[in-house]
Amino acid sequence: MLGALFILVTWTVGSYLIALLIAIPHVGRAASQWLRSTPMTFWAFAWPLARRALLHQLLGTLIAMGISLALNASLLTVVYFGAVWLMLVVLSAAVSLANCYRGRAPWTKTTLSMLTALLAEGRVHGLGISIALLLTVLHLRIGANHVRA
Amino acid sequence: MYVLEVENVRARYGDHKVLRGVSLQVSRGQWFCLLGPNGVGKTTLLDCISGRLDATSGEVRISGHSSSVTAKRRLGYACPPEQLPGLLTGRQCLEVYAIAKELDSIDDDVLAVAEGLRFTAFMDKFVDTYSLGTRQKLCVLLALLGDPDLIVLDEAFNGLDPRGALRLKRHLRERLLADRCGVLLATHSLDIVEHHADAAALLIDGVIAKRWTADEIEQLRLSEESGLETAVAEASSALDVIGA
Repeated sequence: MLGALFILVTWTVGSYLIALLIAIPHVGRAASQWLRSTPMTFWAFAWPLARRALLHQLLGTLIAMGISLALNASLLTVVYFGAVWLMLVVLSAAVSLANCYRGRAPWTKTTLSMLTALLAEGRVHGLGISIALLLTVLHLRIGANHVRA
Repeated sequence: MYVLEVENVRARYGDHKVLRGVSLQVSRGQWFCLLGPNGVGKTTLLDCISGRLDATSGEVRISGHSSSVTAKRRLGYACPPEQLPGLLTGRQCLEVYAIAKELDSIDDDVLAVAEGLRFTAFMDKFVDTYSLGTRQKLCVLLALLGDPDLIVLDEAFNGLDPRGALRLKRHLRERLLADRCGVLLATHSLDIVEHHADAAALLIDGVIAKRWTADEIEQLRLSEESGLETAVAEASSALDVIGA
């Protein structure tokens, strides 16, 4: 009974986190179109959009990790999958918001970045996380250095 | 002193050249109307001026600044109503826009205009529930935030009730008389041009086909009932013949 409840909660939290992941590019695109004629900097644009979503992602991931541990998953595995998920979230937010700010469609680059990180992680543990960190920093720099027309 | 200088601006969407070298100036205290049939590049030109679209070539300066951030601090642009965020209230839209324009709060002046436009009752309702006219009012209020040097409006009187339109015209005229700004309005309404514009230009197929000064507009207004209408039609037809 408790196991079924845990699975239901995990499914609910997981659905919420995936919806939240997809929402960032959507909201970023709409906000970018609306605010493009203002002198808003990249950080002033991106941080308010990402802050709450990232916080919810962190809390949701911790809940999912806690449930997984309660279901007898090993600590190392749980921490590993939690880290991979959070890496994908941060990467997706950085790539999509940097592209939205520059007035470009975020979908292709965001999807390609996430796939690259996942494929690399599938081959060598830790490689995907490193690539994701690199791509995140790169896109944040591109966004911050972009001078809007 | 020009609040807007557009020099030989060209823009394209893919292979389609929309603007083919547009130049115009708007002075402080001047109401400049941009006329033209649908699809000739009026909105594209306004997009280039507001920084929403990168021009292929040419230069746009707002109050002498071509640097995007500095120029945008002096710009008030009324975005298209359909681009307003539906899940925010009018007040939230104004607050977010004020932050984006680096203001501490919503100007009292703008709140007074909102009152005059009877927008206050909609202030705490979601934008999704607004009619076209109410959205249009919000777009104009956003453009007025921060006392901009240049106010850019695209068909801003569409959907406004007569009272709201009159209030808005009066408010813009007050700002112009006080030399607080210049106004660039893209419109199909020749009535607005005849009664409010200090200068006007006709855009056809991405180029300025004809310009009118305040004196010429005044003469057209007095000459006959549909002086400007005839002049615009003639200028458009002349270009159609050249194009053919």
